[in-house]
Amino acid sequence: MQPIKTYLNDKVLIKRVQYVLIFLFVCLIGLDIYLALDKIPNNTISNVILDKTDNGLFVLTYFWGAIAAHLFFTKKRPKVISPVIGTTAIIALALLIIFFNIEPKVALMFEDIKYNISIYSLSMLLGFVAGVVFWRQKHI
Amino acid sequence: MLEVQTVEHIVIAVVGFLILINILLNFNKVENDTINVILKNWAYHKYFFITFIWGVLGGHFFLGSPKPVFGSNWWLPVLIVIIIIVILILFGRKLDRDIVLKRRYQILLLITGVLYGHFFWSQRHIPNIEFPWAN
Repeated sequence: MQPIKTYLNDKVLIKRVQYVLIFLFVCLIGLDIYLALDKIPNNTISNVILDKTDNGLFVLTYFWGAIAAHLFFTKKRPKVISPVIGTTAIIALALLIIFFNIEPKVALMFEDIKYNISIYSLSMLLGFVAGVVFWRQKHI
Repeated sequence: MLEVQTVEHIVIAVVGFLILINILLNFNKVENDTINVILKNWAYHKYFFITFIWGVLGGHFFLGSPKPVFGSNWWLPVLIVIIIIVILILFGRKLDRDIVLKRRYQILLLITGVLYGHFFWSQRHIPNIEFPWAN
């Protein structure tokens, strides 16, 4: 990454990353509007993600919670866990969820409850708690 | 025309791209240029609507109540969420440049967003339920 440093100073690079993010987000919204209005049903981004979660990506909801804690729940006191160990722990937990195939087991526990979407709120919460423990950023 | 599978690939490509450039930005010499730091700074300063959107999308993508509050007007929750976000952006832009939001407001925004996505903008609405107050 040395060449970029020689061409740009810090502020310019940060501004560019911001523009890339805004550009990507606007593109995704535009794409989603197009997908909602075209002739193929159920191909919007929301539909694709919903299909994925219904087909058993418990880990996707886990990452939603972890990233929410990472971005929006900062830590004011000095960090106890180093970012490297924290990130490793977050990814290791996700791999454990995949490896032990947790989702059907949780779904089985909630079988009797008619409103069984709540299993996803469980993994969102799990992700958030894991994020709060291992993956918080420094406060501004 | 984009098939479902193409859309899946696009979503995976975007996420992969974000992870890749974040790794690059993390290991270059410039500080505070990673995506997580940029988003954190936005969310804690003027653009706290990001926290709300993250909550709304979580509720919309992953949860979702079966009973539609607005009946068959599927476009109404979309319109309302756009209006809320525009109001949040305009409100945020009026705030002082150096303002730092309290953490409890972040949690409040996140939870409000999830509840909105779950109850008002659900993808799991059972079709053809008619409510007296709808229509």
